[in-house]
Amino acid sequence: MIKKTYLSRSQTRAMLSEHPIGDPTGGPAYGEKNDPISAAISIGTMFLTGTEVLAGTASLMEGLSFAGAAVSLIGNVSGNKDLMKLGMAANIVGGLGQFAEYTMGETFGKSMGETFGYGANATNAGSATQALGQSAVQSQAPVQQAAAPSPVNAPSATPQALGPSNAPVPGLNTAPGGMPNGIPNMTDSVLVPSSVNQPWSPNAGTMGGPTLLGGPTPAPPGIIDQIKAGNYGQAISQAGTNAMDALKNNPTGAYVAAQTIGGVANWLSGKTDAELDALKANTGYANAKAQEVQAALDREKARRANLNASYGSVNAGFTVNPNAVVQQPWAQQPGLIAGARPA
Amino acid sequence: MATGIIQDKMGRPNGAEISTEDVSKNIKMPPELQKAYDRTVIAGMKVMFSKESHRVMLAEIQKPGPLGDRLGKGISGLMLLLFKESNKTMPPSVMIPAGVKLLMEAVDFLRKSGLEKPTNADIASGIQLMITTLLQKFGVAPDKLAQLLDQYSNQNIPAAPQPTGA
Repeated sequence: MIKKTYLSRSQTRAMLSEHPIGDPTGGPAYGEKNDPISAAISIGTMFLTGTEVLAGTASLMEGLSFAGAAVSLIGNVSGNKDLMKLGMAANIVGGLGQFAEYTMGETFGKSMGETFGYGANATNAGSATQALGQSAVQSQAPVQQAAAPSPVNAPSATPQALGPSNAPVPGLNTAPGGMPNGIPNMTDSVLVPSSVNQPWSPNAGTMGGPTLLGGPTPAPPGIIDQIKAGNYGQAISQAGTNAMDALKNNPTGAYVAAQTIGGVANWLSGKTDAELDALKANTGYANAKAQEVQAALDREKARRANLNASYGSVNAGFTVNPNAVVQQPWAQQPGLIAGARPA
Repeated sequence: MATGIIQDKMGRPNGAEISTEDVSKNIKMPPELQKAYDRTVIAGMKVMFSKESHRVMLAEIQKPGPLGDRLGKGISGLMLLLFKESNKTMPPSVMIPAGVKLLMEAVDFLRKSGLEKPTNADIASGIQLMITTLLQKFGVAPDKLAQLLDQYSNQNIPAAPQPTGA
């Protein structure tokens, strides 16, 4: 039985770019090599709004504290002082996300808001700009005021209280509340909703899950979905022209990425817990791939060695002992009649 | 030389090479983020090793240029891709830890497959580039980060052990 597989319209369109119709000297046979990974990376070149940037940065830098020890370790072993500093900063202060919380305070002798460019003059912070501007003004309050205990962040009221301690500071991302100097906490519901630091709910669909800043607002189709549907124009306007240039020039790469990422999005949304658990149990997943590549490399090495070797010294991958004595089967076994004959 | 509490409790690599296990041991995720972290790592591994996209990863690895740069750019791109595809539901807090873990998985793959021989310096520069790129995408310019790190004097940094070679 003949099995036929038909490509969808968008798949056909993507294939056309690599095998252009009407261009007899186009395509991979003529040296046109597209680069799927660049397209995949370009898809990730997103453009966040100012508020998203602000909230995301705080959360991202908080995440650095979780990997702070690992970063320190790598920096320590490799001698990379930047990584050592980064890991140390993350560990000592209990996460650079808290740095952002103390943006308005005097931390390390400098306003972290200035350090990260989120001072009163920051214009890309969207709705957060107002809060930040207010905070920046209030940060000029006397130090004594800054040292006043806060009901929420009392144990970590001042940067001095942090000191060189490695202990995590309570109050981080716990509840909306004032900063030590009366400044609104950057992790309140305005900037970072509770959804940011919550594990993904299994019920959170890929497209309908909680967004970074809002509540359960319906999310628009992702760029990948747009590309898969062939809506390149929509995808470009969604992600920005620069980021999508590579995709326009390389829709095949986008196609490959879309095929892969489509499944990943399901995983990220928690739809396929069983598959996730199964893969987690399969610890040899990457190892198998490594062995596969190793075997392919070995075969290629053997092939090249044989090509360069003379005819008589071809390595077939096994050795033959020409002196081995092989019993001839017909010399041992009598025929049917001889075998049945009584001795 | 006296070491701090963190360094005393830090998992140490057994040999000269930084291993995935040693790094993984030092990634301390809070319980509420553990599942999100696991999901991100597994999803990243699927992108790196799945049938559909594995050859893409191999092509990326075989590009010219310093290995650290290729690792850093590749993993940061992967993390941003996952973040985007999760419709920003992926907590940004897990991006750097998961990126570190995935970068080490990629290093592990390179070592086992024999495609490349990543040194500790390659790993360090890759992780540094990845973190810098992620922070940059979230609005922290590299010079701002440098300003932050400059707050720390080099005198506070413990002396690095002499490299013993890969």
